[in-house]
Amino acid sequence: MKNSTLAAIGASLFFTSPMKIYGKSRQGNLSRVVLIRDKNILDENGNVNKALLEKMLDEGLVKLTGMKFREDAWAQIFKPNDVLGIKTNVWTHLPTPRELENLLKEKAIGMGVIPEKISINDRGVKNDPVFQKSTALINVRPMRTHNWSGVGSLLKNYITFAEDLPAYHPDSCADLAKLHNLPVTKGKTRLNILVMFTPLFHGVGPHHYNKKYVWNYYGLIMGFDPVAVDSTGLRILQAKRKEYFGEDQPLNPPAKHIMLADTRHKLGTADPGKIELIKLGWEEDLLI
Amino acid sequence: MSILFANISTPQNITDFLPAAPAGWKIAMEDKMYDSKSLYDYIDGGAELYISYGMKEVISRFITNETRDEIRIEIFDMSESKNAFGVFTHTRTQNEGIHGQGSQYFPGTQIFWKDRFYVSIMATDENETIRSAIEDLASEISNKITTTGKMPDIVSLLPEENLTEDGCIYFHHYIWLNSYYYIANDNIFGIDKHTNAILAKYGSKENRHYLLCIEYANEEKSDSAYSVFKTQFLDQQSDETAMQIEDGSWLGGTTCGKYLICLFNAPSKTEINKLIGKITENIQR
Repeated sequence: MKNSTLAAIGASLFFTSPMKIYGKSRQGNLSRVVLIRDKNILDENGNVNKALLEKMLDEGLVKLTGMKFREDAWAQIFKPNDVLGIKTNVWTHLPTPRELENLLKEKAIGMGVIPEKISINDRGVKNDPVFQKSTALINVRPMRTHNWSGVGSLLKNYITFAEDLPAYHPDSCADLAKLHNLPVTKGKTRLNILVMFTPLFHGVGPHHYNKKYVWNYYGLIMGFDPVAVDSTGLRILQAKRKEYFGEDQPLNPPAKHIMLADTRHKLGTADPGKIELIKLGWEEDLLI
Repeated sequence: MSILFANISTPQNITDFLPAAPAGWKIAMEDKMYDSKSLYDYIDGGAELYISYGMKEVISRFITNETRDEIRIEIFDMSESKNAFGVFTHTRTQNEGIHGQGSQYFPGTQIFWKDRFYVSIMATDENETIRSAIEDLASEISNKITTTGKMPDIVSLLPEENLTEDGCIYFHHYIWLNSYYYIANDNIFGIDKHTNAILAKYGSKENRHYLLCIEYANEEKSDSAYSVFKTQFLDQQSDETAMQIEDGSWLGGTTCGKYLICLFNAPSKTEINKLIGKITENIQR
């Protein structure tokens, strides 16, 4: 479409040549995102190596926070008096790894958070007293394609906080960013982690899962800006789709909620030109 | 085996198509039916696809065997055959043509459409036993649906030359406008349940272009949609119906009666004229 910034951003985010369309980034105003990978994070049965996971988390957070030591980095995330909700995702086929949930809880306890004031939850957050009284949230989930919102993203992960879920469905879930502005969530998210160990890059069937369409990427994407983290994950998914299908195969429907979280809701930046992407670890088949 | 009706007041005949459990398998739990309101309870996050295609109701049956493999059988009543065909075109990458009026097997999943019904048979895993059971189930359901349905007429308008095999999607909800190529975020062409739209892929992967054809209720509506197309995509200072854009590709459009026809990402103006000319011929035939 002519004369439409929105269309240009949409096209760039969803498909190809983003840098060309967004133009030069504004120095000093970048959203920092860390992509860290380790090809040994999963064994042949898909089990997570907890020691390597901790190493990935520590290294990633040190880079993200700019701290020298991991203790200082975690101290940026958790305070001893926090009431902490770890917002996970329990989707049957691709849940947040239990090892990651537990490790985040251990890190919080290590920083002095009282165990009774920590809860890990997904679909029960509205009835979870810890979440309802929370002062801090960690948003953690795997990325996958989704047949109405384009992708299951960090932005979408807060849907279980909504009182009226269908209210977020119009226009392929265009306004999911609003979920991050609810009284129970607003300003509380300390860290966003998009799990990219085995992302789902295409969907088949009513329940939108097929083993054929997951691949071992062995990555975590971490950031303070959920829009920037989602935007980065989305670009990897799009690149995988192009590699797999041999041509641009747009997500259907496009994940417009990520773009609109930036352009409409000003929650963060989806513009790759305004994201400082730090890549750590295994470099093969990075796709970004 | 009784059926638990979830928010359904009038049971429909999709129950007639439920297959028996193949040898070595048994029905695992009560069958369940859902309508467009209760579907959200059943398909976590995926209900909207079916609702956007006019789904009336769905019945699901789970079967299991001694090794605890599970197969989920779902028969969707999509109200009209064009909707069942539409959902199929949304999901399939190729039509293998084994079951119903169009089918495809993915590892552990068989989908097909027949008449106004869309069928999905999905296992949690895949092995020879499961593949064989899925095949038997699909055959039985397809045989039980004794009627066939018509594809939407708009499909027959597509020029065949250079059309990618199974490279079209039929829809009447604007969300699917960007299925192959980014066109617009919003419903700029006024696509709704009263329109029929088809998006088709032409040319090789290296030379892909996309034909959009929308059938409106009348000429006034197609003219109005063309005005939007011209405003959004073409040079308003010119009467040209095609133009080259920054990336070197061409786009163009026109109307023919109650139809809006647009071509995107074309390699040349000649190709636009050729394809649009051909589909216009087909409409006027």
